[in-house]
Amino acid sequence: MKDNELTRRTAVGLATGAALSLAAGESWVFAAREGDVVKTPGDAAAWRPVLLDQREAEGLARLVDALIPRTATPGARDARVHEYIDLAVSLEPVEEKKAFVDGLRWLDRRCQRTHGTDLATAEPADLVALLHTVSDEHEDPPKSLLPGTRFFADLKRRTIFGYYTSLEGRVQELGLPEAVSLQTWRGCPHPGGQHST
Amino acid sequence: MVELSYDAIVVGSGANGGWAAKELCEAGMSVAVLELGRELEPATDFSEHTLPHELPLRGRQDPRTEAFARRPIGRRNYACEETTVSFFADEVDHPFTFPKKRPFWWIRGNQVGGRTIMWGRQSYRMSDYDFKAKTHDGYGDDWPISYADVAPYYDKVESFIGVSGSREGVEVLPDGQFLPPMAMSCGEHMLKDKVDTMGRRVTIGRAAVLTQRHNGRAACHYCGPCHRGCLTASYFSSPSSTLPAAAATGKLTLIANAMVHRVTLDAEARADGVLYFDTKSGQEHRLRAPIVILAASTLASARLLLTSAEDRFPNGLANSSGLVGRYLMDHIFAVGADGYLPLRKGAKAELAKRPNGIYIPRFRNVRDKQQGFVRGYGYQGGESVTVYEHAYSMPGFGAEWKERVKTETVARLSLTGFGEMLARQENRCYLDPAKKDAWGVPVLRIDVQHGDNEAAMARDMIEQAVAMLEAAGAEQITTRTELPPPGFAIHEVGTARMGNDPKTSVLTPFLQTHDVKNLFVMDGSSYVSIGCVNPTLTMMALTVRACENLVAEAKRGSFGKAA
Repeated sequence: MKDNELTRRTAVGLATGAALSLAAGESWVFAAREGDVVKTPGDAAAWRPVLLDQREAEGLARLVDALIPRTATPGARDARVHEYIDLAVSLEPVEEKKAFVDGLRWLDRRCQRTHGTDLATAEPADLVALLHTVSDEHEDPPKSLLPGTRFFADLKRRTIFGYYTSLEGRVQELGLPEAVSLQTWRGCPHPGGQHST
Repeated sequence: MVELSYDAIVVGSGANGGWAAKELCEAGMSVAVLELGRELEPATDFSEHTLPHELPLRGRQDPRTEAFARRPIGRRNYACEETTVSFFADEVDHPFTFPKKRPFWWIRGNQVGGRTIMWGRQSYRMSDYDFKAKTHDGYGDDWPISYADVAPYYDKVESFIGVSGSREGVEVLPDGQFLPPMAMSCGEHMLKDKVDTMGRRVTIGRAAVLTQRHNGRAACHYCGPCHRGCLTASYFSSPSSTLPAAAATGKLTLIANAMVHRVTLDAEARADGVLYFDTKSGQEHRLRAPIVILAASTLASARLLLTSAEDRFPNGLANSSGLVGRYLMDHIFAVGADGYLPLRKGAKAELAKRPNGIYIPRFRNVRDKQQGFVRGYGYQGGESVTVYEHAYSMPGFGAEWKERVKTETVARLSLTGFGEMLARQENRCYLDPAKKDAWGVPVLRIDVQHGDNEAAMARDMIEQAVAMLEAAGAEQITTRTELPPPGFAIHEVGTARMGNDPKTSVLTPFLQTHDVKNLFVMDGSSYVSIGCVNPTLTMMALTVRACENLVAEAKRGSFGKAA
């Protein structure tokens, strides 16, 4: 038999899921996950950015934490959203990468002009004030702030995705299960037709 | 060169190759199935239970990988992501071309199971509004078969693979042998309550996903991302369903990593086997059989007919009509509309994720006659309640904003049209004289474009989607207006149309080539018109019908060596 020639046995093996579920009950595939605690790999203290330098990365970490701060649940920095963003942006096309870094540096310069310190060392309240000047709460921001408002929109989008797809964001903040579990789709619970929330 | 003999050779292991193997093996034939791609190992290749935070890029595509770079078109598909990129064909080794101004996005799945691994699973029957479309509106050609010819085979396919759905009694969308339907959400009921009064119908999607245990396969557990594979085999794929049935006969030989590049003929111009390259070793092999079935997909099967040209068939095998590669079609889709349901603001998303949506069957050019276009379209869509995604459009940030994200969910209602593209001879594929694949075989050049009918239909799709969303009470309605290039629906059909006249068709109604009696093409190639419903169910029914005829013919000795 040639290496790439499959027999009846291996062809049946293609249906591994079905075969195993027959043998061990339908829940076998979930049993392995019950109780799993999945941690982000690597030590936060040992993390090194791949796109930004250390000072910029610290500024980024403080910005994402201002956007989604620690409350009764972890914030974006706790969820290491800045690490995700640094990696994700590093893999994007040159123009998007440049836009992100340019925006971050624009905001860093404005922070220094306004508060006399860079993003990495600014007081938390100053960071929040700085973000408010470029945030999407303003319907018609001045053109002079355009680099900042663009960066804010980009950073916020990335922070939302990074946070709410993190273990901390999904499980602790949103209350979603930390592993896939057996579910049944329920659908509309209003047989009388009074459809609402 | 190693030579092995079988009763039949099937090229391709996807939806149709799997069915052909099952039907022929169960009839007692020894069958070799050759598959271009690799064998998947579900335990390591499937990732439907991997949560976003377990992946460096949370499931998005990873441009660091060579796999990503090698799939410039496949990666446009939503299902091509961090863990599934290898399910999509390698476009460097297996390229194709198209005119610069007329792109075609050919999205392929090269593995055992083909595209059934990551397909959309929507399974609808065509009706005589499709099979006899010319009789209805005068355009194009009727199929040489009618719904009544196919209906028993729809029954057989649905009963075996398991299709959940609701019986509706709608003439353009015949009912089938359904497992219990999935439930609709509140917002979908709100749409249905209004749209049904417009003389249209909203029903739950008919999906090849099990709502109860079926034929030894477990019911769906609603984990969500079916395109990452299914360890419980709860949606239909050939490796979870038809191929194991074929293998259970002891008659199946499945050969992966086999790139078939030629169908060979004997002295009497009958097919007698295939030549293929082992893509791992690069070695060429030959298989022999008195029956050869191409089930490699609409475009790949056409290519194989063309690359098998020889002195007796200088324009391509079974191509005396000159129609191999012509009348290529794909559904027009992606256009439609989305809106928010104010009454559903603050709804809580179910933890379970239904792998299905709603369906609105064709209502245009059924009783009415549209001025701008012939044929029709259906809609797929549904309600999606956000978990956190509404945060993107919530101004502000900070602790208070974070708290609001948890409660201010929104429900979005979406409708996307799937419309019939007309069969036109000039839409075609052919061998590119200037480009070959990694094995030195000429590649396809695909030259297809939408016409005025498609443009007019797309406009109507958008207008009617808006009208129905408005009727349902949706607000902030936005439209999607840009038709993507043909191919993107991944419903390509029609490169070897069936018919009774060898001068105007390539295949008989039993998917036998007119020119080479023991050569069959069992995939979407045979379509005369595409209709507007997802094509895989019909392809499978046609394959089963063809196999039944083939087996009967084989028993009569029509193909030489008796089965």
